[in-house]
Amino acid sequence: MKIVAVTACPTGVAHTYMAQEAIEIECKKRGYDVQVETQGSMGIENELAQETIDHADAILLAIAIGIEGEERFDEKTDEGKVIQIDPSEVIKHPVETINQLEKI
Amino acid sequence: MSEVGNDVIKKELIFLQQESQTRAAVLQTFVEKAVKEELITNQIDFLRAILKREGEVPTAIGYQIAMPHGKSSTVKEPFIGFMQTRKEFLWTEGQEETVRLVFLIGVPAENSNNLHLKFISQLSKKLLNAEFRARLSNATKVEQAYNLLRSIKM
Repeated sequence: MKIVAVTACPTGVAHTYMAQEAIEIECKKRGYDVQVETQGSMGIENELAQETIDHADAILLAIAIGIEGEERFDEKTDEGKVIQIDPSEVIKHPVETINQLEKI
Repeated sequence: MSEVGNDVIKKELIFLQQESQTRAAVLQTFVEKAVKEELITNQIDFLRAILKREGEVPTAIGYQIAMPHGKSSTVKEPFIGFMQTRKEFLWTEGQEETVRLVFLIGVPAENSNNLHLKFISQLSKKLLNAEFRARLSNATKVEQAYNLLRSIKM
């Protein structure tokens, strides 16, 4: 399974990166391909190419603010492949969050 | 030890085995010390920035950890303070999260030192590691906690 995600929080110093770590740990545990783009105080890192997004099986937007390049996910949203939650949700409940992604 | 860790982690802002049982009391201890150590110039502005962020989404993130942070022009350079309380307590009225480990993060309003921010992000990630959390929870000496926190690899 290929999962891509974007994480972003209001201040962009802690939750953005904790959410990234939580997603990566849980996906790697399950042997999934994963790439997490962070939009925080250090700018955009690990940026997702459109092609990568197009090939993903499920997309997680763990964001508490508007993000750059949201339109990249429009098509996947229409296909019902995108879940959006607050970053703190995936930090607290990584297992449940990735379970949810498996089901879509 | 990374040099950046030495810059960001403030030994003077490490408090262990505290009796505080409310968010207000914890924050008060931090901001008073931060002014004294000249990390911030105005404690009211800093506190206001922290509470504004808490108002958006409380920063208790599970694992008995809260990470209040204030982004404000009263902050000179990014810094982190750490408090371990003796007993867990409710972080936000009306919510269920209880905490024992509190990390106070201060960041300047304007673009700040990226290395410092990078260090804070790496420390945040490390908090998902159960062993690291246990060591912080069990630390009884400031020196122990200080060395743990500044040992984060960039």
